[in-house]
Amino acid sequence: MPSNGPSALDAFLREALVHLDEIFRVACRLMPDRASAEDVTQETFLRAWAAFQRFEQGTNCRAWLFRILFHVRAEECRRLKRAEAVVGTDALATCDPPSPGVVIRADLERALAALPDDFRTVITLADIEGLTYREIAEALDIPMGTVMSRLSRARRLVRRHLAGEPQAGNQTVYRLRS
Amino acid sequence: MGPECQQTRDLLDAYLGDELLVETAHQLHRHLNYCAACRDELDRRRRTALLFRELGTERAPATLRARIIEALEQASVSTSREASGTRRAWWPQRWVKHLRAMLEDVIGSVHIRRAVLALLVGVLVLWIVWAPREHTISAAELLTRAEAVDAALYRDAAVTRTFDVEEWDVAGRLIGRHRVEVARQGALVARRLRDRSGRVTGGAWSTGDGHSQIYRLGASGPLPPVTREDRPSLRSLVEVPWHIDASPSAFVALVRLDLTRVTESTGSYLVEYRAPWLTSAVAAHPVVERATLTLDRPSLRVIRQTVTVREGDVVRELRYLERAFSRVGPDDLPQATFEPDAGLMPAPRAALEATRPRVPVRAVADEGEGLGREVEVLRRLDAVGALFGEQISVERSPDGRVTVDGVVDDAARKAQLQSALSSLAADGRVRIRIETGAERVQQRSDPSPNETTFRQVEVETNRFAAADLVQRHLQTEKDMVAWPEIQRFADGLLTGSRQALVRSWALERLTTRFPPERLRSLNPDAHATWLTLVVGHARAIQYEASILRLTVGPLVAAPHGAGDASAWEEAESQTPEEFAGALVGAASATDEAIREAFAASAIPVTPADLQIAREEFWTNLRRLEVLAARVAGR
Repeated sequence: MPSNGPSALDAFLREALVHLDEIFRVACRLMPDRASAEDVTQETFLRAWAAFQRFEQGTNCRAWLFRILFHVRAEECRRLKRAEAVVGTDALATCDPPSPGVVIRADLERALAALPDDFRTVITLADIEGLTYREIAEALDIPMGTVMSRLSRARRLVRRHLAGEPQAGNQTVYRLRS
Repeated sequence: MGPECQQTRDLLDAYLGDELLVETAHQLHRHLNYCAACRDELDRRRRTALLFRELGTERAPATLRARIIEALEQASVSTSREASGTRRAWWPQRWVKHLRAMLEDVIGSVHIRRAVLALLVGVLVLWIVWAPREHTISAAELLTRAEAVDAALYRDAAVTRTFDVEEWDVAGRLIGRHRVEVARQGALVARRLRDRSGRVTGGAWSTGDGHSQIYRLGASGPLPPVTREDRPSLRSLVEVPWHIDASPSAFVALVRLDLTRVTESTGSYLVEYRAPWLTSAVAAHPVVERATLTLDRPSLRVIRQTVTVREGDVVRELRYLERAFSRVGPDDLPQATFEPDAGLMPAPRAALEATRPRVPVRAVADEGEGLGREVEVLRRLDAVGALFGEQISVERSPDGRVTVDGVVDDAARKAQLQSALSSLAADGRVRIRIETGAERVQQRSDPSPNETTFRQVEVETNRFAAADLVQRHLQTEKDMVAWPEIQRFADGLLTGSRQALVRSWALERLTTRFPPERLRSLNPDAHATWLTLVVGHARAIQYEASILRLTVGPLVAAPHGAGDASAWEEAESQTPEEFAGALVGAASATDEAIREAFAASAIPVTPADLQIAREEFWTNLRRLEVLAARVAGR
């Protein structure tokens, strides 16, 4: 167990800060703007540092950091009284249209932005950041089965959006990213 | 699609993720062997999956990384202090352990043992708190003497002192540290706030009337004068903790003298104040819960001061530690010391903010009200996308009435605009006159000779100049791309660049309508609304420009980062109006180049001659992105 001195800080930078890019990217997709994404990213690392003594070396640091990120973000949502996760009823529909032939990055960005929070979260973790189901389950503190079903629905919704179907899910947020 | 195809498609994602059992994968292969449609679907999903991975290539900004490392280093300093605190607590822990072991020998029952232990600890605590101590001097007398010493320091001399002001939270975590340099010469006081690298990041300069003016790096010029130099208020202590000195007079201003006590030690006096029980728990405003002042014993100079402030549930401890002290002749400090540093002066985005009204002035209230109404009209028009493109004018008369006059395409659009503005029209101060083109023509007996007529230009081909580039980009080794897909790709780009253009128009309209002097007459709410509109459009422009850059770039092997530095420098020196003009210029040039490449045209242009293949286009696009980012405050 590391103590939180200078050498521990070095260890923390080596072990945790290498995941900064991933944490920041996911924060960008979860927060309404870049400034708040930067803030939750910073807060995530500060809390991780405060709890680094309790972190078991050799276990999955990335999933642990994501778990902290989601806690921080949930608090931020509560503070801003913003609905944290909205799952649309028609998001549960089973219709799965064929994928369109050509998809450009902008289409994909829009499709992602239009997803309800829960779905955007899993698809970001799985398909963009490449986390395993186990890591996602750990990060979000939900069962693996839920991860799998949510991911499958999220991909279906993205395909529906890309196929130009009317808005999937009841939450339409035009997210501006830079 | 048959049931087998449906079943296959349900499994395709799992197949791509290599999650299927061997047998299931075999079945899937068998189906794929004879079903071209499912094979295609698999291929498309594979491509989408690859594109998803490409979204995960953005890196966190270097500034964020640096900020986090700095915060971690600060936190690490505070935690290592906590850690050393833990080592100090080792001896008492061992004592308690010994005591417990002794009690175990004497008393059998766990409960009685615990009760006795608790009683002993209680007695010990009471003894520590109430133990009589010798006071050779009263707090009031000591502080009066210290004040006199402090005043003498500044008499016939100029003094510079350096303090570290630290903010700690209730859990003992360091949440902020400022290094403050205070120079004082007669009535002149200058405070400079420095960061770790010694750069001045803010400060306060006395205005000669006993107040001082605060500046911060990146802020829009001076903040309102906050506090009197000699008697700090509690509010200013909470808001600008570094604005307070560690001095006997500052201490006296913050505490009740009758609740202070003095403790002597070999080298120093400790004056300590504690707020009466319950005072802080029920107060609605900030309260000093505890304050200490440490004075050097022979000289009575302040060497340390702490103030614990409670505001609601938030408790902060401010620690002032003197780091350096020097005293020179009365006129030995350069005059520039007492003038704000040039680096703290406002930059362009800040210039927009600088126009934020500070003190509501009654005399211009009517003017402000009319302007506020105008901003609200613009906001509502903006919300329905009517701030650009359409012929809608917004006029404000000297008495503050606002008239919206416009011609729109059809009745539905007219109804939409009217409903957007209807609640404003209710008080009679906003007049709305929106008509369809047909209605306006009807009203005129003779059509104006200047009326513009539009001629439909027939384009025989729907090919566009960069079609080959797009096709080459989209097709994979084995698949040709169908024309509709190429067309869709081009349409996406045309829409994006048009969006950037119309939004830059809207931005121009908003900034030219409200030059800085008019913005100053706005009330804070209207100002905030205006700023939100401007920033919203700027962000959208930035977004569209970045999408254009990322999408068009791969087609023509775009040069990277061209024009970065010059655009930023340019942005530094412009007024908001010049800014908006530059944005429109960049957006129009971009849109023109995009249309040349991706809109159907009868005029043939070879791909190599296209504007998008030239460095100029990329410089311009980057400039658009940078300018928009600058307005958006990024």
